[in-house]
Amino acid sequence: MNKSVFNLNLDTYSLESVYQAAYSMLDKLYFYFDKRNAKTLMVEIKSKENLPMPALEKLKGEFLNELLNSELRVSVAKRTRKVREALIAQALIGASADKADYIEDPLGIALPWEEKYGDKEKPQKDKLKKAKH
Amino acid sequence: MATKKSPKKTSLKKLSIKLHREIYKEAAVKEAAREYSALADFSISGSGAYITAVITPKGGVPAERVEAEFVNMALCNSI
Repeated sequence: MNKSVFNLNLDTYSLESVYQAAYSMLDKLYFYFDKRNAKTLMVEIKSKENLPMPALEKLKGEFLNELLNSELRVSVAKRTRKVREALIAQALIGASADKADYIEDPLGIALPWEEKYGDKEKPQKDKLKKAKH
Repeated sequence: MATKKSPKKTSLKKLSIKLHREIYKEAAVKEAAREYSALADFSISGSGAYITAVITPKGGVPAERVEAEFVNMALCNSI
């Protein structure tokens, strides 16, 4: 079985993205990982179908590309974590208002502007005019 | 360091492999051993930073292939 061995710098790629990239190629490759030191991860790949070396090198390239994709996804997920958490929290709080009923419409937001104010000028404008005089 | 020992390619003899604890979880390795118990006998032991698995194939499947599948499964279970 042909194999390819190479090192990855863990300052460049997180272990999480290495896991993701490897997971996406488990059907094509056998993986073996070992930690050389705190910053170096040794990767050994073997083809499942006993492919010649050029084909294995192509799969290695695919794995490295997938690794870049995963690293980007992990990085974006880290950067947007707080925003996502805030959105989910807001959605959960909104969903928990069990007494709310859209038919009641206490703020009158379902009324069209014409029905609510008719031909009257907007009240805010009047206030502004008076304040100027 | 690379810590794999394989006595012969496509051998049916037993072989051992060391899996780093920071990459492979012990529970995941044990689960993988359980899943492949029909193909080989596994002896799992922990020593320092590594988990050592000794694989003894049972039937006609080459040890190297059982080992590779087992390591993939251990990785998959660790994620």
